[in-house]
Amino acid sequence: MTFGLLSAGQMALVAALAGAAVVAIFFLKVRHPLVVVPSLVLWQRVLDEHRRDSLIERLRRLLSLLLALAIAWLLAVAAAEPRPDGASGGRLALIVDNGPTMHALTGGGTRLDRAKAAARTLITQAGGDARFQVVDTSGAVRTPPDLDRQQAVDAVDRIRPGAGDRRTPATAEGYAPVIFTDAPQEGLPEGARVVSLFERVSNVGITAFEVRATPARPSEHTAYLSIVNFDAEAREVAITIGAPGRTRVQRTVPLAAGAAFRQVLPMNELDPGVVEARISTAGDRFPADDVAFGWLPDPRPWRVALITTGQPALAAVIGSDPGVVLEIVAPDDYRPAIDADLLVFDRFVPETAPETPALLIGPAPSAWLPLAEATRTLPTVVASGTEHPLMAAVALDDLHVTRTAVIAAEGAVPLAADAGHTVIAAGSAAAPWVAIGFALDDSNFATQPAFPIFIANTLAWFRGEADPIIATPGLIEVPRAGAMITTLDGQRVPSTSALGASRFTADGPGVFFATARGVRVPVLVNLAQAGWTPAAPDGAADAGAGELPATSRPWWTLMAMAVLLLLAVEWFTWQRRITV
Amino acid sequence: MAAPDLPFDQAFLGKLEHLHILSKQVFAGAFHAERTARRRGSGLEFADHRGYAPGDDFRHIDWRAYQRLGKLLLRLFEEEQGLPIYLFVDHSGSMAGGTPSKLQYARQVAAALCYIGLAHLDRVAVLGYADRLGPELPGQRGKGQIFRVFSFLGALEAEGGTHAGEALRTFRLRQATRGVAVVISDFLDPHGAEAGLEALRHGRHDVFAVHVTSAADRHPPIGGDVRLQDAETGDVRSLAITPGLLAAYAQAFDDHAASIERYCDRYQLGYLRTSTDEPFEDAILKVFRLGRFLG
Repeated sequence: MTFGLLSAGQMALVAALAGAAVVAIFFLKVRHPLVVVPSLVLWQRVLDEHRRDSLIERLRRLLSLLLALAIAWLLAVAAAEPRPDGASGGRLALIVDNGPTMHALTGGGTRLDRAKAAARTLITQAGGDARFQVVDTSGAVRTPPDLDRQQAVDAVDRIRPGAGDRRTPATAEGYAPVIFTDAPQEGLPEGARVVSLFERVSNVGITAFEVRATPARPSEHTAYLSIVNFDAEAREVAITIGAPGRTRVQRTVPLAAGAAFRQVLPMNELDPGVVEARISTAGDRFPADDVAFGWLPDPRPWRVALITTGQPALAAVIGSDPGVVLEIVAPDDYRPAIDADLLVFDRFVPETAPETPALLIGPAPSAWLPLAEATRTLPTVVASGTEHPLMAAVALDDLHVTRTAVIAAEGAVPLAADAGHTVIAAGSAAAPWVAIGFALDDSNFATQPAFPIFIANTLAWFRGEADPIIATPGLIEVPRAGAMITTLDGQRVPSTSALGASRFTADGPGVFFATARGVRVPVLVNLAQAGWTPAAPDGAADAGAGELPATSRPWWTLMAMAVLLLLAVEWFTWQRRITV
Repeated sequence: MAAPDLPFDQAFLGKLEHLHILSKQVFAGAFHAERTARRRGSGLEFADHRGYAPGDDFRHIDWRAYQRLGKLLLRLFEEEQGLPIYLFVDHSGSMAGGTPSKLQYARQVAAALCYIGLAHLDRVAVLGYADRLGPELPGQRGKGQIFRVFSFLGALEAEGGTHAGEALRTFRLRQATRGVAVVISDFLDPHGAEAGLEALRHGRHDVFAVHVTSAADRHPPIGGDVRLQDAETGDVRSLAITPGLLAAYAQAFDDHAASIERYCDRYQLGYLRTSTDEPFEDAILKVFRLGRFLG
């Protein structure tokens, strides 16, 4: 048996105190009137001759004491809300669904709010010695088992709205899973009890919004918008698209029950940056999918001049960027006044430092880019500047280099090295260059997955802005170490940084910027996915109230009834002098 | 100490003067009294003969009998002596019970008996006892001493335990002169109700037991759950008093009194039982007469 309010030890203490109090009160109670008699000699004789009566006397006193003790102990135990072992008061794994549909508004906040409240209630009602594990379906919160009640409540409080993928997490062995959700998923643990938070709500939502370049004209962009009426009734949907605070498209469309609105809209008249799509529907209870964000890149092409005698792989990677206009220049044709936003030198170094940002691959020694006299053969190149934006997501584990120059430029930031000798380095803001000490022909770098990433990082670093990251609400990871996360209006967002990435939590749709070492990465958080409607998730029962698993309330109710019965027995027997 | 409240009016005293204490035995004594114990000795009235023994007074040899019988016989004469009366008044704690108290009733009985004895020039000694002997009023003679008796009795307080056997055994060992021993008590003695009587009987006293009871002794006015405290020892016992238990107690009380009476009958001791409910005068004039205690 476990107890809802007290631990077993506390319960034993309470029972002992109650028993002691009752015994004390009992003996106070039986201090009957004192009558002086001439002698107890004859009384003693009478009692000796009536031993049976004496035994009954003792028994009736004992019976009276036992009745009082039983009443007190039953009251104490009932107050502690006992429940059978193995019931919800034992070891519970609380699985809180923080998926997208849990954002739906209900009478008392969102479904997630109600789920957390229900979880807290269950924790509170569990026994004092109950132990918990708390996990959410996004994986953001996953505690170890053996939490006490306060730790479990704290863990529940930490649960935030999660990403789209609901994952039914595994729970600790021996812990009875209880899942708080609006849509039971498949693969629930055996014996899992479901606390349904589902209530039927009205929902019309954006299921897709994407701003993308026109295939025929990369400098032109369009937006794809998809809206679905998940409600059982037709709805009028007001649509606005534009930059935040500035409307570009505004229209109202009727949508029949279950109907979808899908349209491609030109975005060329908008300024580069954030594009917001927003819908408004009367009675909608799921605002999280009423807004979506896209990113309109700068339509001006990024001109890159590749000075090389011929390096098709490099040209292909650079040219694959839709925002890049690549020009290949032979070294003999190179002039310092070349009109480009970025110069890429392949096995060639100009005599003077270019004023244009430059990427140098396999450079030869020059006055402005000093190299060590000796080259290194078969070096083991290890990334050393993993937190630098240039090295974000760049893995050099499988890189093989036959020979490389060692970059000895003063003030250069080493990005990769061989035994302390810088092999890849970046200049400063005053000298915007990136140098790779080895030629692509002297390594397998061009065939590594890290190569296009490095080139993309280089382009973004020089442009000062990377391609946007599309994310869903919840824990968001930006592959930039030490990034400062800000909202669209510049508010700082708490974040953590580890393993070359920064992480922060977005409770709902929105636009964030992760800025690290001069590179700004837009982060677009959208909930717009077709399967994310809270209107009628598959398998959801309209349970409505989010009922908790049955607790052992009947036990204390029965005990309270037993107390009343014993009180009646005690009164009856006392009246008839059966008990004292 | 104030004199006891003894409502003896002149009429009652006059009746008392016509009574005298009877003794079924003949005692040797040193004082003459109106009511005497008969003793063969040096008196004037011939009583009997016995054989001469060396050392006997030659003057008491009956020479005429010697001439007729040829044997030396000694002439014996009756001697008139005062009758010693010992009144033992139990003043233990248990005697405080009753309305009036048993001790008060005992005082009155003792006072009346003293008056009777003193009026007939008997030597009357009054002794209180509880768990031991004392206090004591030595032998008095003559009606003029009655106020000393009253004063003595009035000074007795109901206190202490009861150990009549020990107290009266003490008396027996120090008092060689036999007499009428009247024990006035409720006989609620944890050491045995007959122990005191036994001690006096062994001292060859003519013993009378006056058993003073009260209505509350037999029918205590209690019921329900009570704690009973022994008036003598202070011991407390919690009891649930039921009608059945009260009936058993009354039966035990009757058995207790009957056992004392049987003891007295067995050893030919006088026994009188009286209750504080009964008028005192009736007890003296009727009950005592019926008990063959007074003549």
